[in-house]
Amino acid sequence: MTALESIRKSCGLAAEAIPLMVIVCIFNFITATIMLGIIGVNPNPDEVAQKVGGIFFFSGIVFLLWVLLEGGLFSSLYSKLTQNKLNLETFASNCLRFFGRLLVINLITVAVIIVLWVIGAFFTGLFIALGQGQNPFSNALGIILMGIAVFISFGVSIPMLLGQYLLVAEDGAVVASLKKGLAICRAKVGRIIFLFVLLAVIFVVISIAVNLIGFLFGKIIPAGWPLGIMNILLTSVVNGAYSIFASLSILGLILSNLPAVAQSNQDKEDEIITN
Amino acid sequence: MNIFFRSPVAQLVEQLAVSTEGMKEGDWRKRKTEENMRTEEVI
Repeated sequence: MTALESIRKSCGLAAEAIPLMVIVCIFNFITATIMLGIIGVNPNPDEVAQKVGGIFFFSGIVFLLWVLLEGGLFSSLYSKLTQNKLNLETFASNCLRFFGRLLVINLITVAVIIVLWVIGAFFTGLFIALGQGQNPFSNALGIILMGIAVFISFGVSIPMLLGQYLLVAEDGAVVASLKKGLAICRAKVGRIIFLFVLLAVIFVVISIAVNLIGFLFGKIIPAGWPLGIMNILLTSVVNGAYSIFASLSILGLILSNLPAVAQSNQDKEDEIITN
Repeated sequence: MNIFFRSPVAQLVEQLAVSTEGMKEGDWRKRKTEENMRTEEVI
């Protein structure tokens, strides 16, 4: 299946995955409302320092809860793509079943991204300091280096993301799933990059529309909690629908290309044995 | 995936960071303008 075919198939299947979108939407709405309570509707910049601890702590809780939810969501999407049913009755048990392994992959991904960003920030700072902040060439070089670090971190996180889907689809181990994620990326790099580009384009268009609606809300609804809640509701619905649609597209593309990748690995092994 | 596509929680934290930075920048500019005005008055 190509990237375009995968997107087209997801458009057809997305309407049948509405229960999963509702789950993500409710999760988003509850967690974002609590976060708004912690941050406050009109945060005073002088008081932000006192709230940083609470924001970090709650972000950590949201991260753990999301990883817990991922196991159930990914296995339901896998069932939808392979058996054409969501299997919601096993949703809760799958959340717990995959939690530990998905947490390890997520933590590895976060650690790798942080290390790459720190390295990027170090060299950016180094180059800017070398030009004492006054040299436009070294400032530009520093900024370019940070851009490269961010770009590489995205590139590295893609096989890791595919590894998460494969872990759930094949009930595999962490390292084996990561290796398989990398193998698919290598074998089908063009299709995967094209799919992510298409998803990014759709995401940008949706973001513009959401921001426009949010702006109109701002004109009609009085500032404060009502506007904050309306914005959270809007972004929760959009994010819930979009993340399930994107997951369906990515998982669909991986599953359809998995046999080809396995066959090519088998051929390589056979070649090594014959030689 | 949710975090990959900016969850509402991540957006709130982002907005806070941007507005705080913006306000700090605004304060800095305001201070700088006041300093410049004082310097001009002295001159």
